[in-house]
Amino acid sequence: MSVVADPSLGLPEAREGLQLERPRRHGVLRALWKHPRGRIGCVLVGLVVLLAIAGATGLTPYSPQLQNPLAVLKAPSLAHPLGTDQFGRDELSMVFQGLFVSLEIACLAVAIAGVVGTVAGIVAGYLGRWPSAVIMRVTDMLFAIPAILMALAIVTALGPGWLNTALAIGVGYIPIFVRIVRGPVLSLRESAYVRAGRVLGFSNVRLLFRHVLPNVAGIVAVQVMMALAWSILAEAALSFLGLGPPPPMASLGEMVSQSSSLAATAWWTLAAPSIAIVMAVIGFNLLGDGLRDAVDPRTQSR
Amino acid sequence: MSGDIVLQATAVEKEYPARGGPAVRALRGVTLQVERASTLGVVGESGCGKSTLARLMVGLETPTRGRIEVMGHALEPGRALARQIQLVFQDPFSSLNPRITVAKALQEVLVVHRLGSTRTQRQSRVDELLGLVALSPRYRDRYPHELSGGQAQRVAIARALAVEPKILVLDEPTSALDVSVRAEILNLLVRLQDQLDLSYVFISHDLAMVRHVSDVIAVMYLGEVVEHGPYGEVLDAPCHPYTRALAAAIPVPDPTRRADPSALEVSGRPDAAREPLGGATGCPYLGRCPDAEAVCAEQHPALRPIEPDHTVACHVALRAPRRAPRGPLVERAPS
Repeated sequence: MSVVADPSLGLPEAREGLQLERPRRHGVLRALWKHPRGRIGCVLVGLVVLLAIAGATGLTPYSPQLQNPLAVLKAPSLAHPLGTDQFGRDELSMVFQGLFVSLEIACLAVAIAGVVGTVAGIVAGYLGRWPSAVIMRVTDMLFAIPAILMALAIVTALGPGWLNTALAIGVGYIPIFVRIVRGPVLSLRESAYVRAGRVLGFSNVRLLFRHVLPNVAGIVAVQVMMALAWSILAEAALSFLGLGPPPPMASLGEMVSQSSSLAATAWWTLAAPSIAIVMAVIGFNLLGDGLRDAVDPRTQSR
Repeated sequence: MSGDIVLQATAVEKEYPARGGPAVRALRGVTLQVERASTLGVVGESGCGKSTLARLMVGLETPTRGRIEVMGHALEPGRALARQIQLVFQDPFSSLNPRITVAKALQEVLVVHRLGSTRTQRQSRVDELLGLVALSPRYRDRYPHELSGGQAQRVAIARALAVEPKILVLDEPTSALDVSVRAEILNLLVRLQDQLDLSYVFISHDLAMVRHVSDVIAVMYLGEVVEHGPYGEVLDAPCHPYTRALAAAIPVPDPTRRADPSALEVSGRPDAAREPLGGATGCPYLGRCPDAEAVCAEQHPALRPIEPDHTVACHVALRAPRRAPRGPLVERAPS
């Protein structure tokens, strides 16, 4: 029977050949930086993280705990750019430290939710059958309880403390990760290339870690950013209700809570932590937004 | 016909549980064999069980009843089976992981099966495999989305060949491709068969596609083989009315002899393709058959020889004297 001559003579090949020199690696980070909102998110999150590190390492203008009876409730000035509170503590230094405490809680909460939720989602999606049924029913139950109420219940039960606050927030976010991950895993499990791998004799472990996981990593990363934003807000809400970490390490939410009664006389005590919260939340949301587009292979190639 | 049987399916049945109803019977007792270095063409419309058969053959699913033997051994999914029989999918892009380059995809197979002990050995084997499917080594570091359909299907074929299988199951390997590259892939498959002593199961809904490559053709209808025989006999003198309809639907490059797609039209119920019209006892093709007689409604026709090597499941064809061949309906492409 006949055999067609060299396939490289075909038209598609010739056209492909011309594009050979263009760079092939479409880095997610580069795509993120090119994304208009993603770039703003990067800058905001970078700033917030830097300030938080400064707050944690004591690189603040004043010690956040230092009380100065001579400078109580001072409006913003050159000496105190964000003013001082009713004990004469420097607001700017407190915001730095508050950012660190808030981020610390948010990161731990998201780590708990992300790890537990992703593993549960993968198990539910890949194994199917009864593990899936059990996991999804538990998820449904968690979903039925409003996350803030759940966090409230956990903190009330376990007592205040930043670990408990993080745990409370994390548990509330687990079901979202489970659902986000399970769907794609479910469809990837039935995808032709996972089937092809099965026909080729690949083990389940290899298929899961080499072929399924990398393809859900992007959406998990996006969800992590969204979860961080949500966790900062949730922590603020819990702290406002008096269920946050106890003093002296005040989180942003606690600062808002403490200064809410002073808002009429010293607006800056409320404005400073609020702006920090807004900055962090917007930053993580924009970063997640940009990341979503950056990891999407459909927008990646251009 | 004689020769080594590399793949033997005996009375294979596959049922899928359906919610709130009887199980869907995708395969209803299929018996087929594939000889060494030959091609079995499996033809039938969508939903006739071709792809189910393919999945069973490579061990992706297990038959509800019946038996499949590969190289004389009962089918047992695992690495050993993978070395014997491989599957090439319809859509090459979805069968390749979008995040893995051509070379890495091939290397992974070699690593899993411990083929080649050093990195250099594996790399040269990758180049060899690419050469086998006539792809230049410059495609090594391409991602699947940077390939054309034909190139991607070549990579998929190379990946299947990496384990040096004896049998390739080709599940509509050209249907997703541009018409212009179909012939290239078909010719490549023919060359590989000669070169590597491969046996093929070529699955297609298109009789015209199958005739280029098949030695033996099995025509499937609703999970059953209704006609089976050497390619020339089945195409030149089709006995089953369904095969005749399929053959008549092949476009003929001759303006005076028009193809007749109306031969495939279903009379009566629109869901005829999914449900046997002859009910539980009669012939499954009853509702669409132009030659149906009283016996067809009462008795399920068994697959019986009409000539040595040529079997058909049709009461009318088996009883009536053989129709005088009206000349070849389909001409094979010149070799």
